[in-house]
Amino acid sequence: MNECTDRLAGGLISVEDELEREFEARLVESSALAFRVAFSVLRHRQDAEDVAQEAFVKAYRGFRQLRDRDRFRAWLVRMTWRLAIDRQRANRRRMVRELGHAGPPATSTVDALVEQERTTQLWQAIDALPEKLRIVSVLAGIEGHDLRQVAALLGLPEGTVKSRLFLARRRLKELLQWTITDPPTR
Amino acid sequence: MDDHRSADALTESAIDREIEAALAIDPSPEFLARVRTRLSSEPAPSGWRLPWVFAAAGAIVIAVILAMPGTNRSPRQNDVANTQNSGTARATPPIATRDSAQDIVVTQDFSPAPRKLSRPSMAVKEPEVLIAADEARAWRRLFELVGQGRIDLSLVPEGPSATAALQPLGDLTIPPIVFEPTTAGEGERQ
Repeated sequence: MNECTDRLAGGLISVEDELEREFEARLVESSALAFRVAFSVLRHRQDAEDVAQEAFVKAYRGFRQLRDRDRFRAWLVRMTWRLAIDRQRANRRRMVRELGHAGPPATSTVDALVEQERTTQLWQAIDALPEKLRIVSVLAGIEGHDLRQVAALLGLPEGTVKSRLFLARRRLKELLQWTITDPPTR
Repeated sequence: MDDHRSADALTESAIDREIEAALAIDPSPEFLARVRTRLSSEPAPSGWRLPWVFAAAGAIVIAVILAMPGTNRSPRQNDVANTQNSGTARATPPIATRDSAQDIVVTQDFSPAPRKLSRPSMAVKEPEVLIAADEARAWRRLFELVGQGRIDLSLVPEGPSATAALQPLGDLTIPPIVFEPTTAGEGERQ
């Protein structure tokens, strides 16, 4: 009897350990993804980390339904995006934004200013996109996601993603025409 | 035309590169540690633990019930249960056989599955005593002492009897029953 109970308890503990290990693996491999998705909306490192952390906590609570890797990442991206949008709306009046990022290091003050200006223009153009086009273009720019991967993350058909990405690029091209056609020399 | 196309392609790829560069930013090195710390303070996720807890509790309860010797039923209870569970047994009357310990009722079971007969040793069990053990010991001791004459019951004060409080009844006078003849003739319809 005791042996049976011990076996049962041991089995339960091992199942929980396995789930913990799985979640740890998902956390490690998806932390940058969640952070970048949040950053693409908020452009504030600390806010983006807070939002990504909140998304992971929610994922942890519902991990039993999210054990599949693809499903987990798709859920995480959508949850992070939604949380980031909510945070952005809540922080509408926040004036200080982190416009710079960890790009190639600027060699001079002028280069830094130009780089910052280009980044500002790019984000303004991305922000001007409708949300459906914005998330597609952001996900396509993260970790080299292709159409199929973006479609899987968003739970959309590839054709839909393709057309949205096309529209997003066209709009961005219109908005960024002057900066793209006249890139700064380094 | 070709120049225009190549300019378009260059522009699109340039935009893609710009976006990729803008998003090529990693969280701080403390981020993962912060998330882990936050998760460690998170209560047990009900989503994945509760079903296991219920399953474990159910399995343990079932195992305990099956393992408990006290849950063995008496032969007659077993027989009743078997009779209720078996259609063939229900149709046939039970046959009483004599056993050294006690009567065991065996049903005529024609079902192909072998049935386990209850053991006589389990049937010899005493009925369940509902008096506390120490109380039973005290009663036994009292009876022994009374039987040995070591306790004089005359010293035990008698409580007021139920009849003592009643007033004595006076003599009852029951008047004799008088049958008066009816005015109409006997047997006549009125």
